[in-house]
Amino acid sequence: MSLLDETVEIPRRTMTLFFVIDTSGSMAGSKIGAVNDAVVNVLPMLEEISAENPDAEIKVAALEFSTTCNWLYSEPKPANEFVWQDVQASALTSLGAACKELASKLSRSGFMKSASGSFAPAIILLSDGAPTDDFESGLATLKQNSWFKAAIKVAIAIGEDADKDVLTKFTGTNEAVFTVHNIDALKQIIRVVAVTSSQIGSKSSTAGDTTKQEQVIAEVKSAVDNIGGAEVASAPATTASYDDWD
Amino acid sequence: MTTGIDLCCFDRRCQGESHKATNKPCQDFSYSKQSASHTIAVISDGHGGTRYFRSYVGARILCEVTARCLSEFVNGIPESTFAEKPYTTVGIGDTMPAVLQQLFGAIVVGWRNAVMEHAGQHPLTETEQAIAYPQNEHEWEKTYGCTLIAVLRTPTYWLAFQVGDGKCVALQADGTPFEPIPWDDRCFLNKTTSICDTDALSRFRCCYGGTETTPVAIFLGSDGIDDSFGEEENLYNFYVQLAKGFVLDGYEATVSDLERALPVLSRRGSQDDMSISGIYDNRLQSLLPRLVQWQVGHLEAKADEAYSKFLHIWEDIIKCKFKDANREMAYNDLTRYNNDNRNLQERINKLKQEME
Repeated sequence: MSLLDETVEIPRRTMTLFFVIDTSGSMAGSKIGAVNDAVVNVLPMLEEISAENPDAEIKVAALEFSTTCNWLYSEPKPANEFVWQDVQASALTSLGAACKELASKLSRSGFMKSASGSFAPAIILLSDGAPTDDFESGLATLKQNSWFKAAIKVAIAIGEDADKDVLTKFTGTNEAVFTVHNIDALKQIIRVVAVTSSQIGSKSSTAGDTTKQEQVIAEVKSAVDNIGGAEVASAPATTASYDDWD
Repeated sequence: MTTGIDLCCFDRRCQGESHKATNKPCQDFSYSKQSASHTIAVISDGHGGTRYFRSYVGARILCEVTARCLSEFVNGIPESTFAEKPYTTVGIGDTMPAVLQQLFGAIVVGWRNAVMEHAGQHPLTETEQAIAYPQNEHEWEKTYGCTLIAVLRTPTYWLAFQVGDGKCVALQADGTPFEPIPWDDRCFLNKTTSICDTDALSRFRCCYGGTETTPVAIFLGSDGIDDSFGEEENLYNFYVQLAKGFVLDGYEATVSDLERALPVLSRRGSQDDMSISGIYDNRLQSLLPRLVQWQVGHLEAKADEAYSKFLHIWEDIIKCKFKDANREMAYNDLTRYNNDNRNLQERINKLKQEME
């Protein structure tokens, strides 16, 4: 017999990319349209990164939240199998409930089967407003979660009305909150954040003593300099920072 | 007493696939030795990060120090100390028996003295010093940082202990695999506790027991091994397969197979350095049917899961829950789960033939 015969399964290591998307009423129209468009376009890029990466397979999970929360699939899907279902915007912004729902899936009984063979997930939060429920309670639950603590966390503030303090609390640093002011910037930043998080998050080695989150922030910051209508939330407001969602 | 029980021990290690590309030395070290009074197996995994540029030395030193301390421990305590003890675990925060506290203290101090001696013989360059302790010069020993898993068997008792990640998997008398040493929740993803931690002594966890509780086999593997298998059941299956090899092909052939398999496993799995060591006894010979039965059960559980997912999607298709592209994707999932189930059934049938 051979030690590594067909009886022994060696699965690829995995990195799960979570999209947590605000689908409240204020997102209706061009904002939610841009989100749908951007995610559809970025999925083939994630598939390519996954296919070319010897270290890990990238899986995708998506949670939309308005008055309630809804996972687009009941389990993370490989990027090449994830068919984006356009999300619709309506009602309230239950980010606190979304935090609790995310915490429930960041567990062995949820989406994360085992720490062995897994990389820390990357979580991208997109929101254009402020929570209408008990956000603090939901975040407190989430912050107890080991997977969340280890995750790469980036937030995209869609427009000036987005509560950046809330997004900063979610990511743990205002350096990881990026504000966009128009449709093109929103589409570009989703692509940059998703691709960068996946590339860095699914690699075995880290550069020096910097965390993967710090590496993602540095790369996204660099890219943001070349995206008109996008900025790091921690940067001083510029006169060019105005919303244009028509 | 274990009169009439023959023991075997082994250890193997290999450079990880990712380290081959950068020509980085294997950061793992493994050790095993059998003597008249006891048998030892040890592994240590050097951290290997930028700050830990001497961790491959630290890992070798830790294995040597642990082996020496265990020999002294066996000779220094009465045989009766653990002889009649039930299987006992001591996790993080639990009260450690004084005799073990002394053993672990001796290992920590012995390792620190040995790496200090090494550092004295091989002083850090200015560049290395800047990397080693940018803030605190008292942290120089972190450059040697590594984890530890060890097991000791004597004629009257056994003892296994661990600091940091990696997994210890044992086979019970009926062949069922389990993890005998309690886990430390500080070890999560790429974070691990270490022998170089200032509170290293408090991060030891262990298990022990008298002869009656001794597992048939105990395997120690660095995190490069368990990261290659994902879910624990896949890791257990690998060790069951290894145990089957010892029974069917014998010691020499199986250790050779292991030596060939580790680089393949690193390439197909975690890409990390790999180290394995272990001890097993001749009760393993009679366990072959049980081991195969365990593998059958393992695959049947996977087949059941695939079938359950197949049924779930099929029901949703019948209820027209999918639309457009998702319906097509649902049919793809259906085909995949059906194929998974079929492949698993074929593997189950082959295993069942082994039992006949």
